[in-house]
Amino acid sequence: MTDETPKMSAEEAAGRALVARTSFNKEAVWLPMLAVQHWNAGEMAITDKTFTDCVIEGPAVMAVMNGTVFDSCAMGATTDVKTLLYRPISKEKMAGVIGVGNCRFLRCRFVQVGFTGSDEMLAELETGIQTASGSAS
Amino acid sequence: MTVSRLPINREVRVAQDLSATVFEDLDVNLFDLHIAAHSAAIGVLTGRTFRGCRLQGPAVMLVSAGVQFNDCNFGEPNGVMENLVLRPAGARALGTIPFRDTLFDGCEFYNVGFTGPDEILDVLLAVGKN
Repeated sequence: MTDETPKMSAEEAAGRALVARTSFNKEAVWLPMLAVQHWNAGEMAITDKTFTDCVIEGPAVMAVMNGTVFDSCAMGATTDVKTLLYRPISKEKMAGVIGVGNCRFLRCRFVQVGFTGSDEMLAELETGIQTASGSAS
Repeated sequence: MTVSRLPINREVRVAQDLSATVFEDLDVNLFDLHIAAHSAAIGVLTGRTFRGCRLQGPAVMLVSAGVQFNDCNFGEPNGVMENLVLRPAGARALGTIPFRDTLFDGCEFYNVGFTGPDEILDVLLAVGKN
């Protein structure tokens, strides 16, 4: 007789299925929950996904990592782009943020989401970003 | 002489009433707390006391006037506060969870970053350096 293999709960299985998805279309995505599901699956960042026509909801600060692009997105309800941006003090670690790498956001709308990253990334966001009245491309 | 509440070794006790003003020996998801406050049309979490609580992110806390930290573990194992602090580029800070007039006493933070006005961040950055 052998021990039974432990089974995942339905909630855990749903979380793993969410993490395995590579595309999201016309959906509301709660970024903190998506991050927690990734962490529960042992993945410390959200990577290799395409979000099309989605509403990406916070509250959250996204660490924009290599390969992440924003195409025709509304980044937030503000007239001052800088209110969406944060400069990390450490160059090594950032706490409390959600890492997003190699993801494409196409025609998405961000609600209550801030952005951080390298100096180069922030400069690029600052010049390329537009707020809810416009779009970033 | 006061006795430190840290480290918090009790079992997980998830806070059920997120509209409470006093949280004691509970585990609190900051984004759930924010959502609960928002659904009650409260923009800034104010007038709360957290004692002996574990506060969970992922979240960046906007620390504003009247927020006090007493005997807290901010979650940086090597005490490098720079790893926990983000400076806002603008005059406001969207995407954060704002707190005002709140006491954190004997609490532990997990996956939480901190932002706010320069004068508050400078105090946070000095933690552990004196």
